Amino acid sequence: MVRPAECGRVTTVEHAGHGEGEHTSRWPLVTAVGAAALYVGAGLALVGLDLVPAVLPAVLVGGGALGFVGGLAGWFAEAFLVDYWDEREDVYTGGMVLFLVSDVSTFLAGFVYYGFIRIGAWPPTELPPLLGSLVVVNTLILVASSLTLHYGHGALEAGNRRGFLAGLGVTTLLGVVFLGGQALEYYEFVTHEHFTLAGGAFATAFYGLTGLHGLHVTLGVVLLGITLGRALRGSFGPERDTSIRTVSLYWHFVDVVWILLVVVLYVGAVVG
Amino acid sequence: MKRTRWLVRLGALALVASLFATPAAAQSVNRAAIDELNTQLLYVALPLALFVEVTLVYAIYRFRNNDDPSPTVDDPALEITWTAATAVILVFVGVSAYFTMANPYLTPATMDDGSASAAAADAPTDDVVIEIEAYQWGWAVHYPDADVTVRDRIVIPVDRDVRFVLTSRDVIHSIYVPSLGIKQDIIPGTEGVARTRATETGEYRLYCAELCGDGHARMDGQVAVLNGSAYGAWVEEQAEG
Amino acid sequence: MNRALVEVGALGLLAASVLLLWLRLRRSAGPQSDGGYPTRERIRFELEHLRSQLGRWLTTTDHREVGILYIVFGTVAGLWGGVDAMMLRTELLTPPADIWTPETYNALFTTHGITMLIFFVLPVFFGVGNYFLPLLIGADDMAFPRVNALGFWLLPPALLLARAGLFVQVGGQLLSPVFPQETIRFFLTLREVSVGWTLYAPLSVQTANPQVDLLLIGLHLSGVATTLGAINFIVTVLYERAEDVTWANLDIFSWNMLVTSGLALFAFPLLGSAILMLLLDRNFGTTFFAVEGGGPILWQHLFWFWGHPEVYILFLPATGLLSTILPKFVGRRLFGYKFIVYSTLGLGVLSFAVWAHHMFTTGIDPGVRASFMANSIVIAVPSAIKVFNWLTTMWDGDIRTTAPFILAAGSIGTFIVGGVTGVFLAVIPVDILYHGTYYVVGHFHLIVVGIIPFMMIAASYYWYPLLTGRWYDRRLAQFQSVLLIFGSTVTFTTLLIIGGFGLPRRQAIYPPEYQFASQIATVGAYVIGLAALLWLYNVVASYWRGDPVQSTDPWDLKATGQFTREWQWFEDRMVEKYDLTPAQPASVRPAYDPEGEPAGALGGVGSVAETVSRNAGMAAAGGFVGTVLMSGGLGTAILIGVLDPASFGEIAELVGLPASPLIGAALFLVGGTVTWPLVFLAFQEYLPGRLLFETGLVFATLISTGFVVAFYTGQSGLALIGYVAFVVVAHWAYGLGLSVTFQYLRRRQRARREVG
Ligand code: HEA
Ligand code: HEA
Ligand code: CUA
Ligand SMILES: [Cu+2]
Repeated sequence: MVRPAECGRVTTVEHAGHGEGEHTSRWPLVTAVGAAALYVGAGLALVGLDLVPAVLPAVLVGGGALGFVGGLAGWFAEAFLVDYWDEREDVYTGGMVLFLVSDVSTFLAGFVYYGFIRIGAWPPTELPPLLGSLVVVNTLILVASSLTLHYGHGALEAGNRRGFLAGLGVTTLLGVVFLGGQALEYYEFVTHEHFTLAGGAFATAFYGLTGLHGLHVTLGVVLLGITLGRALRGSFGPERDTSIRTVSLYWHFVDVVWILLVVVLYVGAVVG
Repeated sequence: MKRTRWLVRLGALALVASLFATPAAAQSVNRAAIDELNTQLLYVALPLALFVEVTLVYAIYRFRNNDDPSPTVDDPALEITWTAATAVILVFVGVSAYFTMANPYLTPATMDDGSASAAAADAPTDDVVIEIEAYQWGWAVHYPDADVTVRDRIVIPVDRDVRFVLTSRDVIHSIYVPSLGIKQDIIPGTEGVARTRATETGEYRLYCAELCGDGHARMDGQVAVLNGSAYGAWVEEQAEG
Repeated sequence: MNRALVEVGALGLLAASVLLLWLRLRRSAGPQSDGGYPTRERIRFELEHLRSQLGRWLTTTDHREVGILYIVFGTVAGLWGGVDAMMLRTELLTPPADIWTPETYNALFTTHGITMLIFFVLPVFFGVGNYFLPLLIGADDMAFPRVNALGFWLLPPALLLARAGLFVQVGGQLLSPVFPQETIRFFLTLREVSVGWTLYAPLSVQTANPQVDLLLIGLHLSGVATTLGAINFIVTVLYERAEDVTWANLDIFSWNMLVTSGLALFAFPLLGSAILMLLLDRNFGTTFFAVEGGGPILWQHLFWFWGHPEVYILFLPATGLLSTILPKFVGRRLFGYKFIVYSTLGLGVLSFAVWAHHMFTTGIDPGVRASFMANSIVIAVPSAIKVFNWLTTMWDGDIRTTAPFILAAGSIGTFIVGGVTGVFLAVIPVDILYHGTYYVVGHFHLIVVGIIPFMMIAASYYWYPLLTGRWYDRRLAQFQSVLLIFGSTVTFTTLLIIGGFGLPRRQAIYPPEYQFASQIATVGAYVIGLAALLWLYNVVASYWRGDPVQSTDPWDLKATGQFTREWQWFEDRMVEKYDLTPAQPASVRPAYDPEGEPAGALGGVGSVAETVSRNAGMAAAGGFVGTVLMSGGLGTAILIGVLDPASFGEIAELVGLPASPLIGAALFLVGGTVTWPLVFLAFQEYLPGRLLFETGLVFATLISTGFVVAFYTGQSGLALIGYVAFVVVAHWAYGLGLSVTFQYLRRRQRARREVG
């Protein structure tokens, strides 16, 4: 009854006398507990530090994040390092595509807000200097990172391990640099322009959308980092590139969203 | 109020009977338009729903422990027929709804070139204008003509077009007068409009129909519809008092 | 009364009773002990057993076990939401707010709504889907077993976060005698959220109660879990089907889970973003829903853009179960499989285009409003297709009135009323009157109670033998089903009626004239509660005490060739485990005849288009003859003066044209030659009467009642009798004309076919 693909997915303990396997893994629970602690911590912090002693949320958030990442790491180790079955590639790719579809909807809410304020009197408040060299450089960096990742993937398929590692490494690095640029922009705006999160209708859109995008980039960098670690240990090959494929999909998606953001939010706010 | 109580009891006892009962004469043009449409729709929907329900019951009765069942046979023509029949009925529902919707009492915005905010001053009509501010938890009713403000009680003249200009001080409220067929949400930051023309004098219930906090259930009041002279006297009395 | 203590007490009592029942039955079901004190070894053994069980359930990734976890979790949430409901209805026994304060009442319906809609329904359906979908499509497991487990384990913390206010409040009450106020301020500040399940800004932004933040965080977490689950279902159906499972024979339940997941995939992330925006507005001074930013209406758009698809997310799996279970107890295959699939897809698409029908009274642009009204009316078509197909499935079958069937039939019955009232709400002028009243509450409860939990319970009965290898008490189940249908009908039609009389919803205090009706609704709700408890008792007790299943085909499905994959799996297992021999049906008859000619009047020869056009021609001819004959009767009535010709004008008015009797008569003719004959053709085979002309008379009598009501102009006494008599006779003439013409045309057709 059990296909070979099946065994690869989950550690299988044969049941005496039965043909059916018993499927267990502790990583989902660990990951869930980590995520839950993270959420509870964040919730308690929002409830107010005058009601909750500050250590509690701090410990919960910190421990939760650790548990979450640890859970994921254990998960990947179990799922991909112990056994690897390539025939499930379309399943993983399909799953990632569906996730990205759902992510479109996540961003949609923010864009709808922006649409709501954009059709009103414009600008609602004084705009900060949006179109500077920083945005241009950051955009170029992100576009470049998509290209390097594509190159790396190509190298992997061609069996060029060094090229693959280089591509992946540079991509990760560019992602980090982008995040740095983003942080720099926030810093400039907040300290020099006094343009803060609570600074009115446009600030809400600006920080909301770029912040959401920044979170995506951060997650992308984490995923790239994990993949890079596994790549260094030699987990991938020309025929074994499911993880690279799915992570690439994600990264290109984040890249496209950024370009949309630049067009709509940065340029769109200034012109017209 | 007595009558409502009686009707409610009756209704609870017999759904069909109460739905068929001719609706009580409406107390405003809004309510009359709604009631008329509602009755039209009931004439279509009630027999239809009853028919389907009866078919259901009949099928269970007739085919329970049936000795002579026959297998399912696909019948696309039948499918298309009932789809088309439903669509035809629904077109009727939509068309009659659309025409009632255009009624300038139910959709005041259709009067003022589509924007609801073209409210008080520039309205090209001789409506009696009453400004209502909703707050947690009460109603401040202001009569611009006489410059008086009354709380939790709206007084309007019978057989005149009345225009309520609605604002909110805090959260969303909704003005709801069932007997006059008025319901309009009051959104903070925008000016809402409701219109009516009451056709019968009397005291009617006023509710807040949007959850607005702990006092929501207590945010009720009265709407008094007075005849022309009584209304004038009332306004005068308020202005003096 | 003290809400928090009452509720926690009720929940505790419920949990304790179930636990006690479970333990007692389990002990009595095991081997008899000698009656002495339990030995040490025995306790050690028990503890060891407990530990390994716990370890297994915490770490399982098996789709069936995760499914059970989901179902148990959903049931607990449902009971919790049910206790809220009972407390709501108890408060409404009297007009003033004398049992709980208005604030507490507001909190009760808020948490009731959220618990039911988010933590009860979808988890149960995800559980059923987890257990059965892989079996039905021949997959070994879900596509991502670990994601599956993760998705489940995110839910309990989400529920606890969302409803933490209750426990914190109880904690505060227990701690306050011991600790000084200052040190336990946290426990004294948080309480259950009371802003309604719709969380409308700015109320939800301004409310001080910090539990709102925890609720939002919890909802976000549950949204993540739902999205993960949805992705998993879609990928499973897309990639893990067995070779012989194609799109054309994918079972109807899996279709519904697929579409539901597709809706969830797009709806829930948007809610997640909207919730984060609300959190930011509450805590960091952003302006997403503030007047100077996006405005309060933006929240409503975003919320309902999720909220409306959400109700179909809940509804579709229930219809999937109905389409799966009903045919098994009718002994006929589901009628119109293809059309039901299309209608499911149609509902899925349309459900994203109607959200603003919840906002008709907010003053949004009339043009926008009108288009949403149109979409909302159109959405009745796919639902109607489902209903008609279910009825046709039952027709000519061999109905077995088991508990699952009773619930399925009850579901159809309540859904019709719930659905048709939905169409009334979709009509803007009517909604102006009914929005925010109990009419809306009645509308949706007839669906969210009237089909969703009904079908969950039906499914639990249908698959109970498969799940546990035992039978539940079948007589009790039948009684419980009838009780449930009865209670729901009483409760929610009563709410519909008081809403029709104008009583607003969400009010702890109501005018005294509604007291009697309110009490009826409350008693009905208690009956629902009793039925729920009976169900719980039945399934818990039968787990240990029910009769073991003796046959590998407990529902005798092989007899009609409906022995589906999941039962095949069950049979294999029973054979392997208990050495049962596969069941052999006593007699076999087909449930489906792909080659057969439809028995309907429409005759199934030739292509669909040909049939339709031929029938249209036939209908028009018959209708015309009938209408001409009928005019004679009506004309006489007008001459005698018992029928007012002006009332024809009303037909014209009805469709929005000027009220002229001439236009009315023309419309009347059109109706008589087009609409009614088509209706007759469609339903003719379902009307009693052996010969066609008998059927025609029955049909005519039915529609004449509508005419009598519609054209009544206040006649009384003899005039009334004359009016009714003439109308009925005229309709009989119509019916005869119609059916005799049909008969004639059909005979000619047949003759021509035989010649040619
Ligand atoms: C699963 C749940 C579910 C389902 C399936 C539906 C189905 C429908 N709903 Fe409902 N609805 C809710 C749950 C649901 N609803 C909830 C929870 C709310 C309130 C939220 C809140 O405010 O708290 C609500 C509120 C709501 C409103 C807003 C009311 C208001 O607040 O003012 C409207 C308005 O258009 C509406 C319309 C409809 C329509 C047209 C359908 C249609 O899909 C129904 C179609 C079905 C049929 C029509 C029956 C079968 C057909 C026949 C028997 C054929 C013959 C019939 C005709 C030709 C008419 N619903
Ligand atoms: C799936 C969704 C779902 C379900 C199943 C239900 C089930 C029930 N609902 Fe719910 N309801 C909603 C969704 C749902 N509801 C929503 C969304 C709202 C709107 C909230 C808002 O306005 O914000 C609402 C609002 C709402 C109101 C309106 C409150 C108001 O506006 O003032 C009422 C009032 O009667 C009500 C009653 C009931 C009852 C009696 C049941 C029963 O069917 C419950 C049956 C279940 C049980 C009974 C569980 C088992 C019971 C026990 C274990 C205890 C036994 C106790 C005794 C016998 C005393 N509901
Ligand atoms: Cu104001 Cu409710
Ligand atoms: Cu809706």
